[in-house]
Amino acid sequence: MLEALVSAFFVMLDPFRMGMLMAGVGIGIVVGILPGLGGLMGMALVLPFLFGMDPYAGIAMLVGISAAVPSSDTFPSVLMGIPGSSGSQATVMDGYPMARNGEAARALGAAFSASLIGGLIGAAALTALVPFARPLVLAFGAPELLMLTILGLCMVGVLSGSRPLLGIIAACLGLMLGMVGGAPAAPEYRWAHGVVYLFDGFSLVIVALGLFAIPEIVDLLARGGTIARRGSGLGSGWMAGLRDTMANKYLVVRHSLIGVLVGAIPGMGSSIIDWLNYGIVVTRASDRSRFGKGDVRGVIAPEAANNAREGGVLMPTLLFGVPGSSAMALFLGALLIFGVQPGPALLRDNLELVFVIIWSLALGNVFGTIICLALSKPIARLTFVPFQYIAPVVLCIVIIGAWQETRHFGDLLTLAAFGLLGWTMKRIEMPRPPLLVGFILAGLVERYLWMSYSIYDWEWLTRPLVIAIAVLCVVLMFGGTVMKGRTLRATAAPTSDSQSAPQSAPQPTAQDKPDA
Amino acid sequence: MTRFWTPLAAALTATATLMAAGTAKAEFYEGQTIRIIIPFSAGGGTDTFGRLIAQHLGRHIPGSPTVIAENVTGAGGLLGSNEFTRVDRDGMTLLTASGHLNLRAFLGLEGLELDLRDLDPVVASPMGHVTAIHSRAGITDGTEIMQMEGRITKGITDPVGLIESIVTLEMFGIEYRPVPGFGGRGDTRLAFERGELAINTQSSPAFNASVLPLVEEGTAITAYAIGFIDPDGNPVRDPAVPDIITAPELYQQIHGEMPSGEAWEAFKVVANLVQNTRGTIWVHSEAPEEARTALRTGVDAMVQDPAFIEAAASILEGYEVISGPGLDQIKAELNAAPEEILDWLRALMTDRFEVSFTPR
Repeated sequence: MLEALVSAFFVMLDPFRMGMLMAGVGIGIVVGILPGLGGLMGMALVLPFLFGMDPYAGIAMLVGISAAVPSSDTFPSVLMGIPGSSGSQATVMDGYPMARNGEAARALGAAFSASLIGGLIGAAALTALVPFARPLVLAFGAPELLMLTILGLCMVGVLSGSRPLLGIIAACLGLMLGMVGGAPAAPEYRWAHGVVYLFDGFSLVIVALGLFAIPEIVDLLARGGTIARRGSGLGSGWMAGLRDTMANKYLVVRHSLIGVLVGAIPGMGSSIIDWLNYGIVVTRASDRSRFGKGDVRGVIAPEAANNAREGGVLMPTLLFGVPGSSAMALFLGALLIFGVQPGPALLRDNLELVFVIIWSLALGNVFGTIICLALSKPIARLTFVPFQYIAPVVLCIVIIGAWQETRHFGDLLTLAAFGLLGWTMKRIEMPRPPLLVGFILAGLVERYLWMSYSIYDWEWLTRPLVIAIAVLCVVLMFGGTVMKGRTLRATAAPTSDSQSAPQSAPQPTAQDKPDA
Repeated sequence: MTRFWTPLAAALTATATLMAAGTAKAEFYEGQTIRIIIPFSAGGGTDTFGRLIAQHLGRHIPGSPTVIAENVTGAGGLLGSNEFTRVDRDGMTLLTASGHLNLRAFLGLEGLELDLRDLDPVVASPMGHVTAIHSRAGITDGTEIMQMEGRITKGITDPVGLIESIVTLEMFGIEYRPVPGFGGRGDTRLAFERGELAINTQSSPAFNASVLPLVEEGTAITAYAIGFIDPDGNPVRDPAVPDIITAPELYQQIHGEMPSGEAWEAFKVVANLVQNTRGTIWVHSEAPEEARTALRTGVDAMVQDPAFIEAAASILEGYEVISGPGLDQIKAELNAAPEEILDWLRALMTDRFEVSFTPR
């Protein structure tokens, strides 16, 4: 194994392959920055050029894309409150308030350094777990996956902040909207009324852009001025962000590991991992008062997890030929072009290729983060440019991002409809993340419930892992209340991991309060 | 004067006509762009096949047109294939369909406007399938397939997309328990390894890569290959897995006679229709004669090209593309499929899985 690890490194040192890896990183950064486009789009763009290319170079390029996207998609999430791709939705929660407080560079510095460490932990974990990945992946059958999705739904409370009832209503609305289109376990179309466009349901990308991008653009334009509401400099800069990450190193490692493990389970999409990690960091924190208003821990946790995830999703992809994410489905197709059949036999027959992938992942993360760090200062200045100058460009990019989903007129109508819904919710201070979580999980809960019952009848309820996750759900729901009591009691004593919150921003409801 | 000019004029006219005819015939696609609609997302098997053809076909067609592949995705191929029914029949737009999209069109799935009777195949590629049984079903050999124990679960993705394996189970008369909700065959493979599913059918290359190791370690047994059917109705071994017995042969071993009845007739239709057209490039039958001839000429030249053969080897995974007379046979089999068997297939899908059809 060690031998293959070393020989794969020398395979990668070839200038052409390194060049292709860098090209992949470059493409990944661009599609990551553009809202609505993600790794899937980046890979689809280069797919036609793979025919006839050196397999190692082609694979390095694809892995480079998937390594760079979760770093660069932080830019729009932090700077404009627009998710850069579906894996960075939760970064908006605290990253954007930080930018509005004039701390964009600090948020980006923290995000990229957490991304880098997360990505390296992901690659290392993939190397270490390759021999053990099979039992991990096999431990999660339909009932266990069902419980994980229910765990995700339990995050709704955490994501609702101080308005739990409105949050639950939003989550129910999300569940309802998630049911539109082809049913997950029966050949029927729900609420499609014969409209072929609705057969696939609403696209997650368009829903997220509508909910977060459109209301932000509208309100910023209505208010006038710049994105950052105070301060004239970039805050304490990205070095402060680096220090934040170092101060929270335990957090970075914990969420990187969660990212890898959950990523390794097929059926858990990138947005679920993102929200799950955000929910966990909030629940586990002793001082929760700053979350949603610009707590740097709310940036570090999901960013470490979403880069580490890329190591996780490769496990089922390579070992079982089961795509761990939608971008990995495309990666599988690319392997086919090179005549590689993923499966258990790959580890036995072509270990070198597996390690080329791991090296590409690690190197891609390093290059990607360095480039993003270098870009962060100039790009963060955008938050100090009067928004009316950048709004047309942002709006165009958002519309193109939505349009590339199916290139059907319905894409634009859906964007407009969800934009209106998001803007209304923002006005009435209804939290939007629960809607998104409900929307993402609607189909999965139904699918896994059907599968669990069809396979095990009611016996699935007695499986040990199912019970364990159920207990975790209960702890998550009621633990919050207990924690709150503890925090109240401990207000006098400052806690160890709350140094991140600056004392200069006493805005009570920065996240959802309209400014006009 | 007249006497002098007439033959000359005639000769000139004749030459001009000949030249015109010559240029028109050779240059139908000269300077043109052929667009291949791929109704599935990038990276899948059908997409890869479509892109392979798009890359190699252009330079072999007389006039060397530019060939571009375009993914028009949505609703399981519905949006892209419906768009194909609305374009001009000028030979400038082709469609890449999967075997199962072809079958959906053939049976008349609700919402699908494509009608295979209006189309001609340009080139196609086959793909066989193999069924394995998990060892928890308590059998050690394919011949014991009728004595499986416990919950005989089979994962269902899209029922029409699994029709060849479902019809085969009907042919054997195996009582199984469908488990709906799976995203793809890869997901069923994983649930099969966990023992959640007792029966699992994979494409032959996927079987070799990821199910065969389970057979070797004793978690699963190989039951049968679906196999192909020759023009006389006899089973033919799957070239990717020539050592695995085909379903009709296994039936004969168990029962001492070849299968018969509607399920067998349906099997013969489905096994070839789905498995011979795993990837199919279609052109409208109403497209100009020159266009269809030029495309066929291009394909015939392409399959001889070493560059194409090399690129195709890894993508087609042990099979060869179907061109020339093989395409005529696909068309003939489509036309020959008895209407009552199609009704039987529709009834099977509707009764068991509630799939709706609008037959034409």
